[in-house]
Amino acid sequence: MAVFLFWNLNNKPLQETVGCLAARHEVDVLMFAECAIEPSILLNTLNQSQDNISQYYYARSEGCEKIKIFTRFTDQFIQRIYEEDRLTIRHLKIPELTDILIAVIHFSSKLHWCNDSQSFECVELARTIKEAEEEVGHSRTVLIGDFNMNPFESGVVSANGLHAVMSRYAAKKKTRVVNRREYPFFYNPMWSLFGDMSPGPPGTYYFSKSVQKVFFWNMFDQVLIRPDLLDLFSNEELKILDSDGNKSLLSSRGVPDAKVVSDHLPILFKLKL
Amino acid sequence: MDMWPESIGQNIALKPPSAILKEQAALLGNKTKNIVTAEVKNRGESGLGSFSYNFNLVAPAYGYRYKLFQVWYGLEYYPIHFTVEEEIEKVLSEHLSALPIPTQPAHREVKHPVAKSEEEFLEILGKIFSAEKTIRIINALIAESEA
Repeated sequence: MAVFLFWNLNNKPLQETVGCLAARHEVDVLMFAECAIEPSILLNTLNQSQDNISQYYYARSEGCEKIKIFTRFTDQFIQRIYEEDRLTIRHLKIPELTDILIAVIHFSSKLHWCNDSQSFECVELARTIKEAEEEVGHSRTVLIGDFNMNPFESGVVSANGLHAVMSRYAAKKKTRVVNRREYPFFYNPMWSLFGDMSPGPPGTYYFSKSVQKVFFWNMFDQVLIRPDLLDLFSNEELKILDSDGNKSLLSSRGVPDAKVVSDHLPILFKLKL
Repeated sequence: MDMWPESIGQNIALKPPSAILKEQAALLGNKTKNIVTAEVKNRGESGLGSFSYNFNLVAPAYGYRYKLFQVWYGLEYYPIHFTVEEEIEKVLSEHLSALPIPTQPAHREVKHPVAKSEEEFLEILGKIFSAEKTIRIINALIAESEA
């Protein structure tokens, strides 16, 4: 079982919290957006309590400075295929295990980009992922990150966008034809974690404003899974975390503690590679 | 009877922007002894223009690509719109222009670099190629490839 964690750290010095999360959940691949912590400082914390076998390494990048990745194996097993400043696509190839593509994204914020721009960019992202899949010769891909969009927004749902659907059954059809063009599906399990009936917090990001339409809880942090990986993924193995095991990541109001921790909550998932 | 005018295919004065990009891509390979090359990837028709191309830096030794920028333009070639990452966009501030798509009033106007002529196109390319981050990435890719 490989364990993955993604978290937008809100540029806070959260190395101690990250260290607790990594140890508590035995995370193999840590992925961060808005990480202002120097890799050497984070490695120092991560490796404080680890034995020599499970030391963490920094999976560095030449150009993608918006995402930082740390792994419990050297970066020869998580090779870079393609990068942009907000996207890194890695080929995770661990001996004896099923190899997969991991694409990590930190999409432009709604503060700077309108919904239309985000949707156009999703079309580009979908193409880029498809090209990387063609290059490695399979579509066992996980797309994870801070999308700055909810699962129901056009760019995430549209066929020529990310085409991420809420139903495993729908995604298992692998592709869908629209206007004689074929589009591959992603499965978006985050839908199941929305609202009060989910086992954890109702979303990953909270925003409140005195305007007519506001969702309060948003699911900006998401993991999307290609149909070819669905047999290796169980929905129970996906969680929005609200504690590092010692302290809560939520404020007294029950929303992400943006002042002390981060305005986003981390997401954790496992794959039976 | 051929009803097409003789002028078709004649006097094509403007060089396609894609050809200019390909020339520049080839020049990078010459400069780095092909340790780092560049490729111009056709993205087909984009929602924002008839032609769209990505300009990628490539490290062939370990099969790595980095998207430096993207351009899109219409049948008349100019204006050419760029999408460039934030750090590099800072050196193109005098070329910024609003995108030709609706912007919601609650959001800041989206501005991207725009070249209105071939001269401006070359000027922007020169600025992108000379940007500190571009040089930093190319040098890192050379070092990584030679390690």
